[in-house]
Amino acid sequence: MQPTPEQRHEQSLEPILSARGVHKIYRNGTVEVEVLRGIDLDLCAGEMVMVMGPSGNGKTTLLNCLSGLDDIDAGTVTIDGLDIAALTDAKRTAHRSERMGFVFQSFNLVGVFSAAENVELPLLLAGTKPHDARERAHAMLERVGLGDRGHRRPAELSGGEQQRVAIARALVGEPAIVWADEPTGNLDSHTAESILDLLREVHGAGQTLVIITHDHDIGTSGERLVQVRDGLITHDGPPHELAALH
Amino acid sequence: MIFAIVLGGLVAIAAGVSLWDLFLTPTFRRLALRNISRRRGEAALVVVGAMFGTAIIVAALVVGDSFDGSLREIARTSLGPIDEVVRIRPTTDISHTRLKLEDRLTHAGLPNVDGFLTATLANAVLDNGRQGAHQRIDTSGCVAEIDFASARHFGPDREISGMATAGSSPSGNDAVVSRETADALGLSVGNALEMHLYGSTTRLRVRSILPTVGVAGYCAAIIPPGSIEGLFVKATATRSSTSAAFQPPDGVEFVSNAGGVFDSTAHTTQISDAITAATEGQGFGEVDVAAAKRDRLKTAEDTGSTLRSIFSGIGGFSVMSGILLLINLVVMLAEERKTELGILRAIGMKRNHLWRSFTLEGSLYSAAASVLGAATGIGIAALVIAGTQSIFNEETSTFRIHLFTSFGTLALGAAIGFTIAMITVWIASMRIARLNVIAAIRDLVNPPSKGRHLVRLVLAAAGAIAGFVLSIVGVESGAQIPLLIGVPVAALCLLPLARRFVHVLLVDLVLPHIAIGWVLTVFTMFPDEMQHAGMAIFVVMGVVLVTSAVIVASTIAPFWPWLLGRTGATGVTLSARLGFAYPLARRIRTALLLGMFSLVIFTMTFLASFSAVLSTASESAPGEMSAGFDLMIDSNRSNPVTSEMLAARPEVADSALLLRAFPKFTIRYETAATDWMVSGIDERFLAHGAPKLAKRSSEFTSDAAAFRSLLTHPESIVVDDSFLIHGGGPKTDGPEAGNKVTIINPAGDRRDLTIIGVLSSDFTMHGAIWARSVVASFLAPAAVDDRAFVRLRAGVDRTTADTRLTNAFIDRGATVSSFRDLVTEGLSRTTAFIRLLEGYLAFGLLIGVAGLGVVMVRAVRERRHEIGVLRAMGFPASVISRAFLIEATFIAVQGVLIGGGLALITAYQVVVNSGAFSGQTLHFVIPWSGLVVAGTIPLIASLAATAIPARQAAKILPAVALRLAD
Repeated sequence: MQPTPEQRHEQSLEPILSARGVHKIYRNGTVEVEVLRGIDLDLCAGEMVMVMGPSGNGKTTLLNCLSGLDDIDAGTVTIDGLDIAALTDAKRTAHRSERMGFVFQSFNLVGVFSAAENVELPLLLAGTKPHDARERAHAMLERVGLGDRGHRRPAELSGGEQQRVAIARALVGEPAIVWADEPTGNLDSHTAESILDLLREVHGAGQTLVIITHDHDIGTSGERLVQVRDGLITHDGPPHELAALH
Repeated sequence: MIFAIVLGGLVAIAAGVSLWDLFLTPTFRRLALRNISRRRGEAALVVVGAMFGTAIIVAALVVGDSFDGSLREIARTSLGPIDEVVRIRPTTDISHTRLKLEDRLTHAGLPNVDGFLTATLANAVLDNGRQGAHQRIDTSGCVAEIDFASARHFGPDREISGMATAGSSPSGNDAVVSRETADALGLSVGNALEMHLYGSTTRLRVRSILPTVGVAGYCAAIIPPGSIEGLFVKATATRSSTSAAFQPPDGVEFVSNAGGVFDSTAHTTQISDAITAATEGQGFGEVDVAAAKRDRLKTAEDTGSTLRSIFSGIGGFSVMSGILLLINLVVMLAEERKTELGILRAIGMKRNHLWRSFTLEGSLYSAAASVLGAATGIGIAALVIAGTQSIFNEETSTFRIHLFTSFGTLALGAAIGFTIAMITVWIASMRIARLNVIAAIRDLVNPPSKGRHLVRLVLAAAGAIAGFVLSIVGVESGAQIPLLIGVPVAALCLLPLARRFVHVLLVDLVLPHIAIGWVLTVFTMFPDEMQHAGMAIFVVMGVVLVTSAVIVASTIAPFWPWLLGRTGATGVTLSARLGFAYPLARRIRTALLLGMFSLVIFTMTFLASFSAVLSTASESAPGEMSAGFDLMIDSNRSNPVTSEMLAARPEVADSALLLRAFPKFTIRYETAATDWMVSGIDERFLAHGAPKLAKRSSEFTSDAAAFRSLLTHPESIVVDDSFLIHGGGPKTDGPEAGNKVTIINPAGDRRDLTIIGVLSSDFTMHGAIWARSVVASFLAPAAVDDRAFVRLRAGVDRTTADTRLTNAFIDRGATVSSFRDLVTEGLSRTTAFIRLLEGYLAFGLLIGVAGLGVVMVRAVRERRHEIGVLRAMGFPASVISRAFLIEATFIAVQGVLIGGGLALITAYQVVVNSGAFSGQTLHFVIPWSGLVVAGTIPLIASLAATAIPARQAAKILPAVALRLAD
């Protein structure tokens, strides 16, 4: 049963992720580049947040740092009351597998597994029995419109189909947050639109979503827009407020 | 020569194309060099992978060179200026007759002769005269009478005659001994030396010790002139009619040819013929002209060649493994660069440009690998030589095998390795260059090409037809290789055709099984044709069996993850899922890797099986050759143990003497007259039984009946299983009952004989067995009763009797052996040599293990991005590293099962159903210890080799890995 608008409003009051003063520096020999320069951000359950900004301004780094894929140089990232930056790699990995799903620009499916096998991976990782995992994977593939493609390998699917499989894989474990990094970046406009429709549908079902994009149209199509420029958040609010500023 | 020309041509073409591109095509050069410098570590891995084949080839060649060179060195040092040895055996007036011989030869006007040196020789028992543990005996030491003044002027160089500082000829009781003899008997100048000869014991004093070189080193000791003849005359005068014959002294004329130490042998045939002509009908009796130096050099060459072929043949498995590894590495390299290659094609590079660019890079790797391989090969050869030395070294022998090689050998080995690597890279690059541009850029599966598919079908049909033709040729002619590979080639080539009409699974299971079934039963179906299988047959068998089994393994491989799917999804099974997924998804690459690994295990298990099987001979062989006797005594031919001496011993119940000589023989597979031992037997030898025969003419109902027939039929003979076969390794031919042989005595008389039986085992080294009466009449005076079979009285302990008889006949140079001792000693060298080959193959194992490690290192590199994705999804590092270990284990376990299983079945077939052991009573036994070694070491080593890449994989940071692509 889907949550009522009131329930969602109640949920949204509780931040599930809270980042404070996050700094990230890339080092290459003696060269240092500070990519994130003090990020403060809260994410509430059930939100659909668009993170927008020009290429090379730190959007993907922000995703990596907030999701725990990468270490941070300063600040804190708290998820479910846990400072993930302070966790060991093993604990952070376990936390990621339980609470997060990822969708990448280049799909990043495991090439040697079929679509269904890719989707069931997070479930197997969580200890679900293989038979149950396969059933749930098929059900999730049905949901993303690929019920008949479960046995195919990624190389045998179109780009749009691969991204649908990636979304199915991200959602199947019912994570608290789904991070989507340029999910339509490698797709034509028609396919990109269908993928966005799918993500909106997912969000409509109560899923917390963070979508990173450099596309203005996509960035302004959500409820909340976070704009990143030169490693700083320059806007955080409804998209129309940003339009008003300009 | 043709091989060398073809090889040279291929190398020239390969190097020419690459050199052209290296210097004259900047784009290809830039691409190749930058790809190498960009990933130096991985380039190094490819070079290491490619160098294994060269190392194995160079090692085999250097081992051959070393034996060849060491034996040639012995020819140089022990013979020095001596090229031919002319031998007469006058029974009276020995000194006079040999001086007459020298006079005849000196005035015969022989061409290309540098000089003559006359000597009298005999084989004596030499004893350092001490007691107990310090006593040392040479049971058959050559003693010589030589005039030192003449010896100093013999040959072109005083140094190589060893006589430069020898002083005057020994006189009185003085003896001059060689350094080798002094070391063996523990002698110093002034020490006593006892010589037992012709029934007398002479106490001598060591006057000086000469280097073991040339004339000085030809015999163990040089004694005063007249000593030998004096003892012989005395023994002849006192000899009763019933006492044993002894070998008379040799009147010898050493001949030195014109020319250097080795090139002097060019005149040997001419001079030998001239000597024969000059001495014929001159009253010297039988004149034996031995081409001493040329024969020794030929032995050196033959031994080197045999060892070269054994090591290169058995190394063929390792070379095959090396090729499979190299293909895998090149394919992986191309896979990793697929997108880059696609882009190069997209911007205008033609297929042949892509191929040449890849080939240039490959040729640089191959060149580096061939140099590195040559250096490594020398190291392996040194290890093999050290191992061989320890196996064949005897307490009293100073023979040493030294590492010999030449630039030519190294260049040849490196060229063969370079060519193999280049051809491999060429073929792999051709396949890579055919990539579909879009599929490569977008990392998609290559779409099927109709034209290529058609070509494949045509080639498959041609292969199948060739296979059928080979089968027919093999069955009709009995030729082993066509017989062995015809059906498998047809079956495997039919695979692509049959898949069009029958379900793929069925085809991929049935046809390889037909190939395996044929190879495993061909020994049973065609026992006569396959009975003398050589090294090449075993190599081909291994390759065909492993290829077929790998196809079957690839077909059934998806079963394993299915089975896994039935189990729970714990962390381990998740790792296993990942571990299985990659080998299953890349079937060709997995098949190459599995083939490489299986071949190595196959060879090791096969050799371990033979080693174990041969050990079973120690149970049955003593009884088979003892003829009901307990001990065998060999004694000095110039001072033999007589039947009267044996009869006087309280331990001895009965004895039989064997009259032995060393004539020449010919047979259908050895038409050159070849020296071989013959032993004459009589009724006494057959009084308690008869040796076991592996084969006998059908007219005889028992082995004993065949031996009894020998006594009454002088045209019949029994021979040993290795009759007139020289060198080691599997025999490619051998004697059969009914074969005709010709025996030639020292006078040149010939007799045609028929083989009526072949001995089951001949650890006693009887050689051929003939009736004593004909040996005496046809081969006298060269035949001597120097061997006795002894039956002990009831209750006498064999070990005690052995010791007592040895002590009693010490002056006769007696060596007393139980038949079990003879078998144990004979087998220990064979099994030790097999172990040495196993050690050599351990390098092949290194290829397998290192290959797996190299492939895993590359796999981590190739899958870096996917590992990042999995880590991002929450896969713990331990699951990732376990997945790599499971992947390696999956391949290694399959390799052990395929290689080990097939080798055991093959060994069983060869032992039980083939004539490879010519009827020796051998029992197939599973070599458990060998299996444990061949099974566990590769597994453990593979896991160890994979551990590093597995750890690397686990350490990959997800964000870093993802950033590489996104």
